[in-house]
Amino acid sequence: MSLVLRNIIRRCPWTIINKGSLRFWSSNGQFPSHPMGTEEYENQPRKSITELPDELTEHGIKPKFISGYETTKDGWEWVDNILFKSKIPEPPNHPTPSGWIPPNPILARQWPYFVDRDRFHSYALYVRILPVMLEYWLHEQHRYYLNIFRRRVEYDIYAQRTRRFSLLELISGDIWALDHDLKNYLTKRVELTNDKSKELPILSQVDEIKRHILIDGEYEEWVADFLKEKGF
Amino acid sequence: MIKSLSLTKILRYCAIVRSIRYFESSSQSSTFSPESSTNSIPQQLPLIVSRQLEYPHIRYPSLQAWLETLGQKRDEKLGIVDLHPSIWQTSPRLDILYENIEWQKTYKTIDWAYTPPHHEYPNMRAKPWPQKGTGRARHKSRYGPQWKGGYKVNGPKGPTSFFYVLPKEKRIEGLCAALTVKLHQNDVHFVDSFDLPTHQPTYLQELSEDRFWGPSILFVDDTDIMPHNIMFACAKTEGFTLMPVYGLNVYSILKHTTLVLTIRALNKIEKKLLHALHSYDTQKDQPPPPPDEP
Repeated sequence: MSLVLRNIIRRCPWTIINKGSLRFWSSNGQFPSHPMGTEEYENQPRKSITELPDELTEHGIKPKFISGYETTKDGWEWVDNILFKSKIPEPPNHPTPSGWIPPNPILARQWPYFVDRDRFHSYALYVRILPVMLEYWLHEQHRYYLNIFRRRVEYDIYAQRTRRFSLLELISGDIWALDHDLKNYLTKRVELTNDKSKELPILSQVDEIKRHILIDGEYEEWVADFLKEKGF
Repeated sequence: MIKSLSLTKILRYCAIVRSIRYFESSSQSSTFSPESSTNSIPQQLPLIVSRQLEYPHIRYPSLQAWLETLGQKRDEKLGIVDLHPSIWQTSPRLDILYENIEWQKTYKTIDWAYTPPHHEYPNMRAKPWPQKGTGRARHKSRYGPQWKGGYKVNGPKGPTSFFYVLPKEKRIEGLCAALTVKLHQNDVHFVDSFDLPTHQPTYLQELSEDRFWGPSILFVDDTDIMPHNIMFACAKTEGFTLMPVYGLNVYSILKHTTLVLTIRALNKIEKKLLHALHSYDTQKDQPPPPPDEP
């Protein structure tokens, strides 16, 4: 036994131990006290619901008749349809009613960059959520770059929510050109909405090693439209 | 060299024909389709060999590399091999390479440091000298943490393992990144097979020196049963290692200066990596159904 138990038993009066407050063995003298969990008990042939007594079924109701059954090997395709398959099927070459559009390789070759699809043939566009962090002090507000950053953060504080970023991955080629084109497209899109609250500048982070672009704000739908225009 | 010119010519001819024959016989089992056929007639070298790639990339065409031999010392190319851009033209992700190497180093380590705690020390209840009277500090036992030879309170306790398994996607991405890095630094060579004419290690050493193949070479083949000649040569040479495909890892690829793959190994690697890149969670697949009872 462990040291802790040994010390407890050493300090406890003998009456408690003998009377059964610290009982480790069952009353019938066998260990374990119930066969549940042993191999013999678990591997017994299960009884059908009709054979169980009324007390053990739900609400005292038990079915009085269960129909017979026969085993066949026909209709495997209906079972196969439901099973998990690791192989991903090839998509069609035309747009589908859900809004999925296949990539256009002829159009995609024109640009100096290329955005690949992931293994499920969808855009590598993701949302990143972070808590609000006030990283710049008030006395540094005269710096133009920090002013822009603080305005974006204050918008999120005003809206009482976490920071939202949209992430674009699987980029190959000239990332900075893609970044430039993306920013232009998004600013035009923002101007089209004529919404003064959304006149914040579009900030992005380009990671050349991980080959991704992180855009400050929730612009997933507009980035998806941009990718559709380019044929990626 | 000048002594027996005719003999060397005959030997070279025989070596070429032998290598082509073996190349074609080995290629029949794989996905090759050489445009020139027949075994008995010697072909004009180099052959152009086309290779069908699974999951073709939308944007980038297949890369091409020379097909070489180890059967003769003279560096003659047998043909051209197509390589899949998803494996051999991915971005050189240094962060993923670093993670793979760190994983390979640390997942096997066990820290055996152990400092016994106070209840494993002898005779902790004996007071060394009375509480008062002597001018010395008051102590309860001779093995306190402040004593020399005493127990340590929060020291290392027992063997601690640093085992962890890197996610499958990162390991796959690491292999692809390592292979691209090697290929684009001209350190990968493709070979028809590992059949050498002699078991002398000097043959392979001089061959690698003539072709500037670097001090350490990693030879990768399809199976773990290798021909005797190359086994003997690599065993006697420092820096040459033989490896089957299932032993391929990022650390070995980057540690050895050059990487020499057979075509059968290339087929197996590409098939495995492409299936892993274009499928989802292969562990959840249903196992094959048991054979029907008679």
